[in-house]
Amino acid sequence: MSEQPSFPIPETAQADRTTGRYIITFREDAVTEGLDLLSDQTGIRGLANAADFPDSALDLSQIEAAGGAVFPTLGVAVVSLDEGAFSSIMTSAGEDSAILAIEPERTFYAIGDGLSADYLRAYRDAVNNLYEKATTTEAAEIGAQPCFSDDSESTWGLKATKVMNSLLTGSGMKVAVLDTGMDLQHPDFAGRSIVSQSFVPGEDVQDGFGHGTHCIGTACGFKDQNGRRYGIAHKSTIYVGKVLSNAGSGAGTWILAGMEWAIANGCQVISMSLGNTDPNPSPAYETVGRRALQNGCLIVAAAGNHGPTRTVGQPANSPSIMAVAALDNCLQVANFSATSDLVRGTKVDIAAPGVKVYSSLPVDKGRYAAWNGTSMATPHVAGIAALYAESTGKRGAELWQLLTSYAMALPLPNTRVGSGLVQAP
Amino acid sequence: MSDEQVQRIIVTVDDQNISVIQSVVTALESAGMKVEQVLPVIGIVTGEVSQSKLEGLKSVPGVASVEIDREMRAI
Repeated sequence: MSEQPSFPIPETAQADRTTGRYIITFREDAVTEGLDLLSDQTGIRGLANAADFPDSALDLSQIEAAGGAVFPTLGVAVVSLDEGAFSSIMTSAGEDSAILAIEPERTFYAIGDGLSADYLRAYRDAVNNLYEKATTTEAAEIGAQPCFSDDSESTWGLKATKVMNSLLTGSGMKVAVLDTGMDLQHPDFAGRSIVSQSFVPGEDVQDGFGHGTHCIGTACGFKDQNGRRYGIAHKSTIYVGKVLSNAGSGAGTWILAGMEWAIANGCQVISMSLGNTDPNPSPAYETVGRRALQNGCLIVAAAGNHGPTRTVGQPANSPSIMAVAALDNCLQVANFSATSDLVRGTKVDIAAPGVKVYSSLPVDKGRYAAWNGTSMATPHVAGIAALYAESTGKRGAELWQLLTSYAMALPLPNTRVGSGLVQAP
Repeated sequence: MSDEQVQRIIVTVDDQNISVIQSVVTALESAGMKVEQVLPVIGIVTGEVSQSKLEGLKSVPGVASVEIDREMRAI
């Protein structure tokens, strides 16, 4: 059963329902002149004047008796006009006249809980119609978003984020990816500057899960064996911190140790495609995020894949950690992408490609794959952060601000996409 | 018996004491924590404590918070 508004507009009401009276708008400071004109043309005089009443509060019963009223502060009058009077005065109205306009007085209704669908539809159509008339034929329709595709040149995500338009490489930057490690033998990374460390007891850095290699590919990789580009900061030094096991999970103590290592080693960006579904920010991660920013290190984390109504999990829900949402190739927010929490005040900060993201996998798992997740969106932001850091020299909170300021706004709620689609410098 | 259950914990050192983190570590150990990692740049101390002594750690000078070590997953 659809909800009914508490104060429905009567069904018989039409937009053009009028009272029989007319509203006359006078040119500024020409009320007296306008009233003289009215009286010359129609014989109407002696209208009730709001200024004559205490506190300018017109007694409305006076309007009927006087045939109308003048509101000198507003510069308008309301008058009853018969057909003859109306025709006479109409010809006197205009741009250069003391009377600018005459229009029928309409009935208005209080609008209660909601506006009817019909009303909104008509309003929207009117706006679209006006927009079309007012703009040139090249303008895109309101609400339409372009769709991107993978091609031989690059992934769709690198087109949508304008990485393909950028000459920056991440050169000189250190990007830490704290995840399941990396396939250090992957051919696409031959010759790259890589520093690696495992924080998982009993496991080495070699990625036995695939996730770490995929995220590193997006943030720091370059091109696949056919020349298709899938990675962003392709000349950065990659700090591979294995904080998640080959089964894809990790203790907080391992993760924090990885964060310490990345910050102590001067990484400008830490990419963390990991988390839980706890909507309450953790004091430890919030404090670490804040100290990271103070140390010139921006931490970017995945908002979580437990959306669309459940809210950002830890550690992304810390205010000092940038939470990333996932978009598809038509720039719609992924249904699984977690949302901001209006009660707890935690937020999605920014959005990036997170559906069908093509990137590297360990060779023994197929070398490449297209995956979905806020995990895939996060390294897009991390890689692009490295480009901004290289280009501007900005760090920490200032780097955060560059990312959000230059993000492309989307016609989507900011609870789902934050400042919008991240864009490369 | 449950008081002796051991919890793995994450202790956040407050801003005023991060520069003297070793003294906070000593105080935590005196209060019953078995310290495993000291992370001085981010100001975190990790380790274990028996359930019965956990609340007491929160009153140790220099401690901003004590949390249970939580698992995270690749997402």
